[in-house]
Amino acid sequence: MISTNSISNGVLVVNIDEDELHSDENFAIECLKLITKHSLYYMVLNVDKFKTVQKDDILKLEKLIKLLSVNNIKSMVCGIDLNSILVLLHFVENFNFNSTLDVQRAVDEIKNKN
Amino acid sequence: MAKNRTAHILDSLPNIVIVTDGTHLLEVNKLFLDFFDYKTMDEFTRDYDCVCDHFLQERDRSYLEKVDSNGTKWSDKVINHPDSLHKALIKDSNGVEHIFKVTGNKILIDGVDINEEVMVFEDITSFENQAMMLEDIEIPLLDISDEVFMIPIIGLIDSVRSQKLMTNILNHIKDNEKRTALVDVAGIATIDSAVAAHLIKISKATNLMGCETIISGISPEIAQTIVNLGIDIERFKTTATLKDALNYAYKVNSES
Repeated sequence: MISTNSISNGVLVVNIDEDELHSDENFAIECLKLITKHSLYYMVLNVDKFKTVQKDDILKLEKLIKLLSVNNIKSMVCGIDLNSILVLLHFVENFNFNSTLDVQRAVDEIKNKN
Repeated sequence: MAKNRTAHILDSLPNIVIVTDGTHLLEVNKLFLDFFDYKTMDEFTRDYDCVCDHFLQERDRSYLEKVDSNGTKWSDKVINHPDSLHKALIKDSNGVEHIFKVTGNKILIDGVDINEEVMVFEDITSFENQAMMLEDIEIPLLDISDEVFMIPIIGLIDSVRSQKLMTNILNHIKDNEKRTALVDVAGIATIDSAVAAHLIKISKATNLMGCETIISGISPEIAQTIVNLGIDIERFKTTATLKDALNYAYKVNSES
């Protein structure tokens, strides 16, 4: 797994690598294995390393979040940059996940929002 | 020749009234002559064929043209689309620009179209200037507390203004780590589907940054419009008054 991860306050934070999200078909399964290994139930998906977050990224993230949800893992996305948001609004009708500004806020809020 | 009764009636109207065949002037009222500083219509027609020779254009504003890009004559455009707002920009004899709302109709005599049209020019310059001033006013972002800020929507929201507002809001959330945005729409007289779409977009954008949007100041009339338009407002919290919105925002932020 190229994407880095850490644990903060009982929450697994995955700093997603842009290429890995798209190229690795098993990325979602890797994430699931990782959180299961640590026996955690909350995952923050940090995308702040993305140059721009595009519609394809959102679709991939939604799939990943759905897969996690099926396994009773609560998740939250963070780090979508402002310019990406302004563009994404024109192409994505609905965002089916919780999202926040940065990792710290995501860790603070994930347990309340789900 | 003495003026007939109809000419006197036209002269007493507060708007410029002309009769045209779409290209040439056939009749004008006194206000028209005063506006261009001519004594008679003949004097005017010696210099110009049509009032449309005075139509001006301005960037980013759509005013009537003598003939538009589709080849439609200005008077045909006005008459064929009576429900649209047609505006003409014309300079008076002193070089001052005036904006007119233009309406018109074909003249029918005993139901027969005589290929003449009566056109009315209503001066809406002051109204338009006020509208433009409102457009230019930047919507302020007011900090209420560390977590909460307020956006009082004033004037009209169009796509350009909405985009600028959204950018400002997102920057404000990012820079100040705000958690709740109160969008107060008490300053908007009516909400149409376009305005609602802008508000929904703003709400979606703030949600992506982890900031909840509360729309406050929804009058009964606006509430009814929202329901009638079938706008989906389930996604964001709405309140009737700013007070309710503030109470909710404080409650939410004190819990988290």
